[in-house]
Amino acid sequence: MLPEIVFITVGIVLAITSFFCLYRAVKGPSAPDRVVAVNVIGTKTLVILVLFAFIYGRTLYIDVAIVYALINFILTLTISRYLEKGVVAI
Amino acid sequence: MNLIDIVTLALLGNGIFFFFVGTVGLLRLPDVFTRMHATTKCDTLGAASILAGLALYSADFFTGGKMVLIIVLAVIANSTSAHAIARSAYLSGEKPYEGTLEDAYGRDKNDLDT
Repeated sequence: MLPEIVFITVGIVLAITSFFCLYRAVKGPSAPDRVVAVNVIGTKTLVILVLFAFIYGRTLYIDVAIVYALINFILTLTISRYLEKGVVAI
Repeated sequence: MNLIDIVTLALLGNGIFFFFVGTVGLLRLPDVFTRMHATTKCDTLGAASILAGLALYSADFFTGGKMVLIIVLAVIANSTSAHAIARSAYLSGEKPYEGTLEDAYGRDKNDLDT
């Protein structure tokens, strides 16, 4: 059995790198830069949610992570479609 | 500390390394296409590595199965959305930076237009 501190450390390192990605999301010169940065933060949040499931010992967080992955995907596709065509509708 | 713990620790360290490299690439590279090139690969591999380590550690069929589902979803979603962002960035007027050797998509588009 691994001690709990291992998962907490991985989560904290991922949270710190998320803050560095937030710099690009705020500063980034163009709109696609911001979309890429938000997508990266979403992926890191997904991994942190799965780590929560192991820290607290509740598997409910894994289901939340699945839904979060789907929402992240839809968000990125919608914004890229808006940037390309100017409208969201098909 | 048995073998599964050691493999899990190695996969967690691998995932943190790839996430870190992706963040450095996102902050340091010159234009949006190269930034996307760094983050897409590193994020997909980092997330897949950490989730595979945790799925191995959980030793439960349903929990591990859900995490394999997340890995498959993340791999498909990340590559598809990177393709969509790159296409929309190019078509909305974003230019590759000056040191780019060849712009194959722009050349093909010009050939099709003329």
